[in-house]
Amino acid sequence: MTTTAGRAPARLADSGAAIPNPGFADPTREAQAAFRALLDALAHPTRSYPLAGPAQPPAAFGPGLGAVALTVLDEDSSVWLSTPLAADAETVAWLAFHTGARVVDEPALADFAFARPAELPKLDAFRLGTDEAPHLSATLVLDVAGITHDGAARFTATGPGVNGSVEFDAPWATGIEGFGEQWAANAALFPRGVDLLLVEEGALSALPRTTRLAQASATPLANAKEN
Amino acid sequence: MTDETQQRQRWMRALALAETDALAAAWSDWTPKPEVDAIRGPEAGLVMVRSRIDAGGAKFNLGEATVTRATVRLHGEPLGADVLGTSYVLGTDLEHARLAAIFDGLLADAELRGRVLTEVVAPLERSQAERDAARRADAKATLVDFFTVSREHA
Repeated sequence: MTTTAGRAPARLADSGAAIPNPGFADPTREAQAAFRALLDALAHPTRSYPLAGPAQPPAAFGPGLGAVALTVLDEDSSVWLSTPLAADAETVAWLAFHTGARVVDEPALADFAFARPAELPKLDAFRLGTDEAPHLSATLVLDVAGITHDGAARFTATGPGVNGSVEFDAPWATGIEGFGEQWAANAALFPRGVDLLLVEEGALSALPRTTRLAQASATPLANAKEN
Repeated sequence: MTDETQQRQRWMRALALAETDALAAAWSDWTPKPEVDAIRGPEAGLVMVRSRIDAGGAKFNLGEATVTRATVRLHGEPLGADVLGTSYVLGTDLEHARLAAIFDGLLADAELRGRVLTEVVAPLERSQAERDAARRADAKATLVDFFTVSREHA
C-alpha cells in the first residue's frame, strides 16, 4: 500500500479522468493461480497452461495480459506498452490503479513489456541484463490470442525443461520480422537475454532464454505431439 | 493546499471516524441509490506510519497501522456521470470502508454534494463532537489537583 504519487510520469496523471475497471475478484488466490501457471510455463517451455483473467479487463488489454499484469507488476516495476496500448487511456489508468507500475517510453528501461507480436521492437532493444545480474533483463508478454496463419512458422524446441525436443506451431512468430534469427541471437547471449511469455485465450506458454529453436518443416504434422 | 482538498479531508475525517452502524443507517435511508461496483477491496492491510520528532528533523517509522481500504464506482440514477469513491479507514471493518467509499463517491458528484453534506456528514460531525465532548468531560472529572504543589503554568 505504498503511494507512488510524485513518481508517476505525466502520462499516468493525464489519464486520471478514466475510471478503472475492477481487477481480480479474489486478488490473492487468483494472482497465486496465475503465478503458478507462469512458473509451470517457464519450467516447461512451449507447453500450454490454463490462465484465468479478471472478469472486466480493459478492452484493448484483454484478460490474458490483464492476469499477467495483475500478477507480476507492482509499484517497483516499469512497463513498456505497445503504441496502441499506451494510447489507450483505459488500459493505462487500469494498470496505474491496480499495479502502480510506471509506464516508460523506452523499451530499454522496462522490466516488462506488453504487446501484440507485430508491435514488438527488436528483442535486443529491451534490457538484456548483465553477466553479473542476468535477472535484470526484460520479460516480454505477447498477446497472441486469435492469431492464426496459413503455413505458419513451426519450430523444434530444445533446452532445459524440454524432454528431448518438441515441435510446436508458432503462428504469432510470422508477425515478428526475422524471429528465428532474433531468438537465436537472444539465446546466444546466455546468461543474458529476454524471456517470452505467450498469452493465448485462457492459456499461457513461455519461451525462456534457455530454449533453442530450430525451424521445423512448414507443413504441420497431422497430430502434433505434446512433448 | 487547495480548498477542495481541505473540504475532502473534512468529510473523509467525518466518514472515517463514524460508527459503521451510523453509516449503514444513512446508506439504507438514502434514495435513490446509484449502482455500486467494487473496483478494489474492501481489503485490510498494513501501512507504515511515518513521523518527524517535533514536526522537524529526520523522518522515522513510527509503526505499522492496520488499515482497510475500498474503492467503488457509482453509476446510474441519480448521478450525472460515473464517479469513483475511495476510502482508507483505520482498523479491519470492511463494511465501514465500503460505506465510506460509497459516500465519498456521492460527494464527488457536484449535484449531490450539498445534500450529502447536510444529510450525512453534518449529523456525523455533530455526534462526533458530542462524543468527544462527553469523553473530555469524563476525563476532566478525574482531574486531581495537588494543592501542596504549586503549578508552574497555572
